[in-house]
Amino acid sequence: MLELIKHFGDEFNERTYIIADTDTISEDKAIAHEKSRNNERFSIERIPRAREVGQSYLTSIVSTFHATVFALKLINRTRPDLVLLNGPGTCIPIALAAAFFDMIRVIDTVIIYEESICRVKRLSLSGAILYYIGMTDCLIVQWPGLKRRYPRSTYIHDLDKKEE
Amino acid sequence: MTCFVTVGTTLFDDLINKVLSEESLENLKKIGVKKVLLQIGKGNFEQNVIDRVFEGVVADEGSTSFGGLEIEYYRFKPSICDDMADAFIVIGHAGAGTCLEVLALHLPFITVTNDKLMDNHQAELAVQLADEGYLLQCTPATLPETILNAGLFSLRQFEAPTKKFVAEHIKQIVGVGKV
Repeated sequence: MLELIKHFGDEFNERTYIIADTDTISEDKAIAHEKSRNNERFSIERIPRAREVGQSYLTSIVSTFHATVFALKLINRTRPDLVLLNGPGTCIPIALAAAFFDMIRVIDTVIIYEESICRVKRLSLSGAILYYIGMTDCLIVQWPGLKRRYPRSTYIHDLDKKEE
Repeated sequence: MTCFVTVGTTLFDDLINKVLSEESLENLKKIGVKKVLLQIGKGNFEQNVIDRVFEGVVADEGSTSFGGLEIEYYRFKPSICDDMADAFIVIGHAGAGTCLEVLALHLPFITVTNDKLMDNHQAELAVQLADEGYLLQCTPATLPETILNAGLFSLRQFEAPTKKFVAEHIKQIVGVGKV
């Protein structure tokens, strides 16, 4: 994700990083990135995980609900123009919240999901959920095989590499 | 001429034991390796390897010399980047992070897929990268012969995709991009 936003200039000045509360390394990376571009208008939010690996389905309903309430409050407060999502289950409540406020015309938000480079043949569970309910404006995949299997996804050729 | 072996944060005893099998060590010597450095994570060596290679004594880290090879191992380090960069070849588990890190260094690289894991989606990436000729991919059982595969030293160099065009695309959707 940081690899991607490195290519953003000043278009998106105020940034909120949403990090799973069990994640210990991403925060440092995000802070280092904002420092490198001399920006102080950013914040880091910690979202409760919707579901831990191996958690039972019953308790994950409760924790997903918890995460969704958190996401609704967060989106209502930050009113983003762009929501960028990747991988883990925590992205689903965020996408739901952003789509909800967009639907009731409180905000006009672009929702984009980028699938992990690990996914070569099939979308991850998060990716597949977002793909099938069509909640994202754009679902970016990193391998041509995925694009063939999921035609509504977006695969962007790396032009630099082609010229070699 | 170091061969660096890494299992990342996974538990992958088959890999560390197979690297220290007689066949593998013999083949590593054939391609010029003088030292084997293993990052073993939470794994443990099997008794046969402990007796044969380490003369019955192992701990969380240690070193020995065996049949003309220097062998050193440890469990974890805050950063294994340096060990990786100093290596002559890398043998690693098929995790995505490991794959991309090693490929960025343009090192000869063998990924070993854990065939005991069910539905190992991490291996998807390794298989794809192997199909495109960036690395060699095998299972613990086929590791010794893979070390001698001549393709190991003529792998394609991997350039990580730049995200520039993806970023441009996103800006256009939001409506702040240059058209």
